[in-house]
Amino acid sequence: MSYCSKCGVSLSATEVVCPLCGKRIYTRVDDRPRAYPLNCEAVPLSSTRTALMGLIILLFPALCCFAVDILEDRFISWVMYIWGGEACFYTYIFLPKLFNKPKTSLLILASSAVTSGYLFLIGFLSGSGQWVLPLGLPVTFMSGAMVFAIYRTINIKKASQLFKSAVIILSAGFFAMAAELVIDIFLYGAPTFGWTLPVLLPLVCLSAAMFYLEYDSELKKRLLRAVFL
Amino acid sequence: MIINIILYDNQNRNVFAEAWTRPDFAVILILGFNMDTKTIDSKTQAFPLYLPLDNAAKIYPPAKGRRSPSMFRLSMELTETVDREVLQLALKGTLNRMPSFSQHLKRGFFWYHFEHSQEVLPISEEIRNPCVYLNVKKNKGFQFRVSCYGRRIAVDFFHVLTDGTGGMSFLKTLVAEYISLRHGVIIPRGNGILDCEEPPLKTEYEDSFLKYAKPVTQSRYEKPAYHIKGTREEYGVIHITTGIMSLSEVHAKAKEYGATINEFLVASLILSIYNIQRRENHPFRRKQAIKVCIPINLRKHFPSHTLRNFTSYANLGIVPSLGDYTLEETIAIIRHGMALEASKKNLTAKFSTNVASEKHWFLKIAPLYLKDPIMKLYFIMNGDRYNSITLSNLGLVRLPEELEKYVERISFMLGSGPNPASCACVSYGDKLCFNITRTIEEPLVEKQFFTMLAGMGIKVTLESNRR
Repeated sequence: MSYCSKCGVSLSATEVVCPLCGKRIYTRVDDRPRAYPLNCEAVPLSSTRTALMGLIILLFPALCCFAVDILEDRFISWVMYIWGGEACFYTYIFLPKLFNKPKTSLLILASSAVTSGYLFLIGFLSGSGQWVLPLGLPVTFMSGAMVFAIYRTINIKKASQLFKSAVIILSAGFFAMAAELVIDIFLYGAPTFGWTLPVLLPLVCLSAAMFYLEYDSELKKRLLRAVFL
Repeated sequence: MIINIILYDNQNRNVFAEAWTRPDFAVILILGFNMDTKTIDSKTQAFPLYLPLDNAAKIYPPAKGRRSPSMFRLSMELTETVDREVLQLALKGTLNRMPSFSQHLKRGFFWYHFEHSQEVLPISEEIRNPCVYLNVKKNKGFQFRVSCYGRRIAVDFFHVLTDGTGGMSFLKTLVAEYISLRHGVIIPRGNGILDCEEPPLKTEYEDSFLKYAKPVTQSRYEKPAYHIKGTREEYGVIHITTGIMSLSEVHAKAKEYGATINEFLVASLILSIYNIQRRENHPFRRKQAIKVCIPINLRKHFPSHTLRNFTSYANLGIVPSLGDYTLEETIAIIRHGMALEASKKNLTAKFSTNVASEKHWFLKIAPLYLKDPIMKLYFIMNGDRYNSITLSNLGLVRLPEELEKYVERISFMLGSGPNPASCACVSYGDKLCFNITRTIEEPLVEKQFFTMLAGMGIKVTLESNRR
């Protein structure tokens, strides 16, 4: 029988590592098989069934709308909008289910790509597609980048909630400014920074206050005591 | 299409069971034949081909997922290496005696139901990650898995079939049958070991919840509890840490505090989680109540012999926002809390509420495809909301002398659900086997709990599935 000096517990003769602290035991002399074998039960990670169910559920309104559209004027017209919307919805919700461990960056890229495709389709169908390339495409990919940034911020292990919230608020402010920049260039050919300044400034101030609070731990404690947390 | 009807036992003229049958079955009923016209085997004459799920089991199939497999494991370690072929024979005999385990889970139009299977369940290979996933296809549709590894016989149950007591009865019968076949020993039956020569009894597969429910209800609302956080492992990964202690040592220590073993273990577990909670950054999380879900065996309060689910639970614990707690204080809370919660009247009201929900007109008429996501959502939102961890204690298992000399150790293990860690313990002989399973990377609970017990002077020997 081995003994973990760090945790103060004895270990079964078949153990090679202390399960509490991970310390390797070098005194193991027992040749008995380990408590559990090496092989594991494989758990299916992808949900092909869910993805298939989603396809069937979305196919039903798609076919119904197609039938109504055809019966209406014998041409395929507005049903394309429905199909495009459904393709976007499928990509956002059900496509990730087909993969074992999908990368978030790739999923966001796929979602942005399919949204851009839908915008091109809308532009093509409405006959006024000149706004898609200079306006629709940058805003879509900026939104994707924003979602990715928020996702990565939330998943930072060592950062506190306050720090994460400050980063998210700040990036929301800059996203609004960047969106206005794109819209202004499309509409007027030059940036004007009108409505985003009243949005950006309070957000920057708020996030700065949160960063300061994160930095000054004494102030943070006093504030928490003041609000009975 | 499958329809829901009430079947009457012609002999007793009582409502026998709510069963799920096919249209041809309904015709049989309308024409006045009784249920026994459709039999399945000479050995299981009275056993119905279709069986509705019991009241507690109804939530498990919709709630089943990669994060909540709702499984538990019972195992016995023998004094000799297990012979797989003999075990296969023993399993066949045990399943003939206990047909409520030999079931396939099927979807009906309104509810899930069981369909009896005549197939023989193959003995599986032991795995390193039990209680995380039951491969039903590989398992020929059965809702449990029997495996052997070295000297160990293990049975992993999906909770839809049975609870810990029913599962223990199955394991005891299986091992008794195995030893009888292997060594030609006559093992006296009783005390959970069933005689495989006898036919199954109706009382063994009845839904005792329906039988003992009264028209009283109780609010399910409780204050949400603190939940341990950690880095979630990938699907399929489970960390098992088994602490083997001397029962007499634990008993003596519990006596020092004037507590029972269960009260002592629950209180120690609460204080272990309290130590984890104190290190939380978030002030709100530091003040949440720490509650342990303690399953209560209802067979001790009602004269039921069912092998299916018949348990309730009590969520008991401390409120750290009120101040620091000592072990004595925590034990007192558990003792008085159990006295309040585990009274027959209170337990009846608790499970009668679930029975009343099952009998609600909307749930009766709503099709399963509609109920399925609603029940899953309910489970996700409320499943483990009111407790920080579960500790299921099966107590001291006694075996007849003839069997006792072949069994070295009994172990009980729960799969993790929405909460990242679960505890289960069972005692046999002078060994108390305490299992902690977790699906997070950090060994927070086990480290706190086992080092606390070791600090009290209890010798703990650890075993794990870690490589």
